[in-house]
Amino acid sequence: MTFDKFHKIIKECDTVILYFNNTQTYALEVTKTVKNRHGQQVPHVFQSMYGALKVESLVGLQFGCRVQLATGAGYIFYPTPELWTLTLPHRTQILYTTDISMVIARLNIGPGSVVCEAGTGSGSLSHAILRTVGPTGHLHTADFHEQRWLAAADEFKRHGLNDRVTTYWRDVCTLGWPVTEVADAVFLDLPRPWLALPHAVNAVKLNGGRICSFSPCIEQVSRTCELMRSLGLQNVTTLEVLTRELQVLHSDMPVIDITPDDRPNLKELEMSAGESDAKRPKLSADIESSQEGSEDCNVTESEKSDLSAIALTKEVPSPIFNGEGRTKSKSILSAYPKLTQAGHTGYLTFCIVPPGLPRPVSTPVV
Amino acid sequence: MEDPCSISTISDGCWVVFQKGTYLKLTKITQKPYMLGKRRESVSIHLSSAIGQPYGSTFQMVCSNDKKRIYYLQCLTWEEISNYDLKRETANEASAFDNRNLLGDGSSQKLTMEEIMALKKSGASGEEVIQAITANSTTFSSKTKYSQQKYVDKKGKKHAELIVIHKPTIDLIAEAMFFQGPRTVSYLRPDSLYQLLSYSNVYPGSRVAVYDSGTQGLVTAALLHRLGAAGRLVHVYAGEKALKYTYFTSAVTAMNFDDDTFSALSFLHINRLHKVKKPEKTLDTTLEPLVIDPRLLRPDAPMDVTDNGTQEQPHGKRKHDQDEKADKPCARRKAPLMELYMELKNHGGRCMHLSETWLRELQVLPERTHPLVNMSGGGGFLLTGTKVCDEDQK
Ligand SMILES: C[S@@+](CC[C@H](N)C(=O)[O-])C[C@H]1O[C@@H](n2cnc3c(N)ncnc32)[C@H](O)[C@@H]1O
Repeated sequence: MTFDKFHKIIKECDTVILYFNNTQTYALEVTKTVKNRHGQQVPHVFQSMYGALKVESLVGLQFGCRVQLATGAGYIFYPTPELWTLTLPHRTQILYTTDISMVIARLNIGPGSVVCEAGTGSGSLSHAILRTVGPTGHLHTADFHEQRWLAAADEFKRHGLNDRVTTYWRDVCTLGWPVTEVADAVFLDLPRPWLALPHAVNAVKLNGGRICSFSPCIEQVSRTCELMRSLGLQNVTTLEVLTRELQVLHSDMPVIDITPDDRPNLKELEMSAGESDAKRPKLSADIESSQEGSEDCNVTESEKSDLSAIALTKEVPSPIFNGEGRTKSKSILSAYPKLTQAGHTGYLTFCIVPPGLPRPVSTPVV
Repeated sequence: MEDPCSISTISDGCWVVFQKGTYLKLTKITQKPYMLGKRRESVSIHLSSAIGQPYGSTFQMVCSNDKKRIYYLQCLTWEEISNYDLKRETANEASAFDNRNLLGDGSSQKLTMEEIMALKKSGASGEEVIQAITANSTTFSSKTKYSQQKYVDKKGKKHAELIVIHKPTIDLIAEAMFFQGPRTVSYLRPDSLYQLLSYSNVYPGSRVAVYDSGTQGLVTAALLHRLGAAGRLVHVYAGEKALKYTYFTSAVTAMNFDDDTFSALSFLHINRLHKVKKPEKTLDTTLEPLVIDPRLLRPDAPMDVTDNGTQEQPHGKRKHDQDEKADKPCARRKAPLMELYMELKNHGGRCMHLSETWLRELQVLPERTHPLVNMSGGGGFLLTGTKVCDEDQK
């Protein structure tokens, strides 16, 4: 019962987030016992990398507190929808916060909004919607998969969200939602969203609202957009949004200590000027042109060629080492991009249902 | 008494978002004409002619004085809008006909609103209607061609884009402001703002403190919208100028908030921050404590959102704010956030993430789908994290 109203002290039946680090984060329900594999009630103990946690012992502690386990410590966080999305039990593919943020904002969801959703899936998006609509809003969410529907309904109840959500076991492509002309916004995450689109329009309030459809494939988007325009929906916009995460840390960077060395170079005697001219690689062009302008520059032709050699080969003894013959380094604060990151989640297509739009379906829904 | 701006029709003195094609602008409905376009080609539009129509209505520009280029707005019905779209499409196709590199695209013909209505009147069941409109368009291509002919504009008039007058919602305001000039909102791109709203865990009735300058009140307005009348938003500001003044010409005003929602907003000078009293340690579960407990967050530059935290700001945060003041803030920099990351980490910040979002829009048309040629190169960096209990810091 933690998602409906904020409180500071952990109670029994709360869902809490146990955080060790960004990859080891878990959602726990604070109960005395849990069912084991054989259906027997056993004491609720969470086994982590750092030791076992008797979950009941969290009761009475404050959110944000540190918990010491056998070989390491973690923190107990309040379950925000963002943390829930990272830790929830997956029953389907889910939406993540980057897309969710876009969906909620562009559907203009706020306190008191009425939203229709299909399919419920694992309820990742639903939790974020439910936070934003608050106790005065409502979510009508449908899924045609019975187990998922039951699991989601049970989850909402345990999270204290029952009053602001109605779950339906229903095929929205043929039946739509049992409510019409009530929604400020409709969200579709279905394999064939175009089939549900006329019902989605029907669900929207007569004075207008918003619709969004999420599809991983462009073919689905194509059909959806075409139909959206045919139905008279406006501002049809398709976009992709991704998060680029940066790792912040101090790291060492080698610093080359350049000490100008004016001693004549022995090598120049062994090389004729003409020869070196012919051999001169392209790379020297920069060095050369930068020197040409200065009249009183006492760099000889052959020295120039030597400079170009330094630029190309490592063997040439050069003045790049400092007195002690090793490079220095300094610590700099850096932000590294991740080596791999999500490159595609899906396309989000938004549109506006204008006020007074004629409704495509007039049949009373069963 | 009902505030005329909170009802669903366009009224005098209200803020609206004016849309013409991709052009978006936040403006106010007044008796003065609205100037659209660059100086020499500009036209004046009497937006007041839209008063009384529902928000979101579509209008046609009608010329009332050709010489002075004065226009007024005429509200269109559904039939008119769909015919208008069809005319434009036909015109486009006719002009594209001679261009051999373009695909003559008969497959994209769509069912008109009129036809859908006619189908419904003919007694087709709801399911049949759906089948008809979702079926492959070719089924209706002959019919569509017929209606097409009927609506072909013989005079070959120029087809100016239609105008939509929207109710100013936070997403449209954010987009209009970014469209008008990213600099005016310190380069805070709408999608970055939306991430900020999620990660700050604002919900109806929560308590939030925000340091927001240089965004025309966009962050403040967005938070206020999410908080509703039951919430509390403390706007922390710096500098001598009474911020309230600039405030009333910003996104906050444009939202046409009702008095209740507006009263959730209060102001606090940054130098008075230390004076804010600690909340009594009661177990009142209806209110969130004013401590930075669950979430700590700030995007780059002048914006700063700290969920439920007006006092107990880690030293680093305040120092950072001052840095920003001395140095012209710019939301595009990430270096200040990297430093802040380290400071917060040393002051009880956990689960910290520095990130940026990448946003790409697509043109979706039959056989002509591709990402838009231009995209924004950066919309700001975001640092998110959770502040843990103090005991840990020692
Ligand atoms: C990808 S999941 C949705 C995930 C969800 N958005 C989330 O964030 O957790 C898609 C769901 O749609 C449901 N679904 C597919 N077709 C449906 C239909 N015609 N009517 C209702 N639900 C449907 C599936 O059972 C599945 O659970």
